Amino acid sequence: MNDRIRHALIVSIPPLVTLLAMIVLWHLAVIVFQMPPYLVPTPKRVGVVLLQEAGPLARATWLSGRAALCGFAISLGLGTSVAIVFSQSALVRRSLYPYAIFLQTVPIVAIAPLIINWLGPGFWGVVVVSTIISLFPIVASTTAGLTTVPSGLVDLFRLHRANRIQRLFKLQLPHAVPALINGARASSGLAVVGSIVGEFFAGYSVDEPGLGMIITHSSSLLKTDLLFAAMILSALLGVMIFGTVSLLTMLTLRRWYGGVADPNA
Amino acid sequence: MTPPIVIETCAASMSYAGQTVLSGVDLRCAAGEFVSLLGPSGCGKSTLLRMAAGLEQPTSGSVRIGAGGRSLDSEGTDATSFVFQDPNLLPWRDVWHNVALPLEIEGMDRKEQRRRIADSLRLVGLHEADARKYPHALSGGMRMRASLARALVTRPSILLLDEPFAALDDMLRTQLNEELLALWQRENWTVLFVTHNIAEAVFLSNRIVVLGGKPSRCVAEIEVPLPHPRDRTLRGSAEFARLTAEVSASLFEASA
Repeated sequence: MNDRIRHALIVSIPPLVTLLAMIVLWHLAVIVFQMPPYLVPTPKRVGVVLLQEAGPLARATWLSGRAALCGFAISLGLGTSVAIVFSQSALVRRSLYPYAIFLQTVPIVAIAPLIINWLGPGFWGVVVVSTIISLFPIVASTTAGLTTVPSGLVDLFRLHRANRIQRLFKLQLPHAVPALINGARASSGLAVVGSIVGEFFAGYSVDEPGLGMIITHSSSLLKTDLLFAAMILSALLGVMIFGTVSLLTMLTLRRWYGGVADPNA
Repeated sequence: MTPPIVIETCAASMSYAGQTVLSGVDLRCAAGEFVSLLGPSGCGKSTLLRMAAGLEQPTSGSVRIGAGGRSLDSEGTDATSFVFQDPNLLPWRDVWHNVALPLEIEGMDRKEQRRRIADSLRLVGLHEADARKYPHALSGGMRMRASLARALVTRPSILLLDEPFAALDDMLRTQLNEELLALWQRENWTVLFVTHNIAEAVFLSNRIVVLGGKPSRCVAEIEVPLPHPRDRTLRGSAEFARLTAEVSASLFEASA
């Protein structure tokens, strides 16, 4: 137990020191260069706004987080299904993979307005934007995981005349789990980006803004302290979702690979 | 009555990308025989074994396995198992469930599965506690035992082994050789064993088939008339030394 506490301290102290140093530097920079608060507020001001607006900000974080989680969950389900289809036929994979790459390369800001036109503003528009932006990493890495099973294991299943379904569920999918989780980690951060960007276009309503809406509004009103607060909260949201996925990864993979986070590395 | 031929290749040849690896190999194994395929690295001995297992099709010639010409998946007494050089265990399954895999694929009843798995683990000397371990927590020797248990769980009468002990240290190899031989005597398997280790081939086999040349073919067949049961004291005997020298000579002749 003592060791674990020590380990936790070793891991957490350096980034906390960095954080403190950055806040101090930020504060000094504002004072030394005499920056006006509409350009850069002091950390203290941002802290005050965080406390004053705690209720609406928490509500906004919940709204954006909900949309991000929903987009991430859809990406996870849809991405895995698409990868399974890709893994079953090289022809299908060759026919469709270029269009999956399209999802990755299309600038989301270019298609977001279209999505909002189709779905109208509100929750589902935001979720769809979040899904589109977070789908590709899961498709790509899960497909790779499903199609790169070591040849010896494939031989083993051939020897015992396993059928397609058995091969998929007993061999390909379990083998793809580490890859899927790596994809999910990348995708979880993107889902938050998607929900914030989605709100730029779709929003919910002025009475019920998510973080993305607060960012656009406070920016246009030059309420930079509120903008900073919303920025910090969206970053925290991303870290929280990413951290949860990483934690699940460790718990799953430790059992199989003895704590090696990425057996393919 | 002579025992039936259960593994037979007739003029089996194999080419990859225009390069002939094996040319016209005739091999016959009678039921109950322990035959080793010996040859230098890259001579195609593993390919021949994989052809016998049905993992590869000969470019020309034919391969037959099982007394009735039945193939690998057939049920009944001619069932065949294959042991890879790499233990090939699934990292996400513990030993017990790795051994269960062939029976699961077959769709065997759970209760019967449990009995067979326990038998198979006992046969290779793995304990209850080992069965709950995951492959990453096992030593090389234990992994190979688990791999062997998985091959035996289908109760095969023909065993195809592809350099199963090549990655193990000498002591462990010697010990597993003895255990395998004792099991062979008791269970009456037909074994086709690929190796590049001369002492291992002599110790285990009734007959050694030496592959060599370019492209490879059978260059020699050496009977090993050593009596059974065999144990490690045999390795010091004059007869063992004579046979080893004979096999070694034909192997060098083949690679020359």
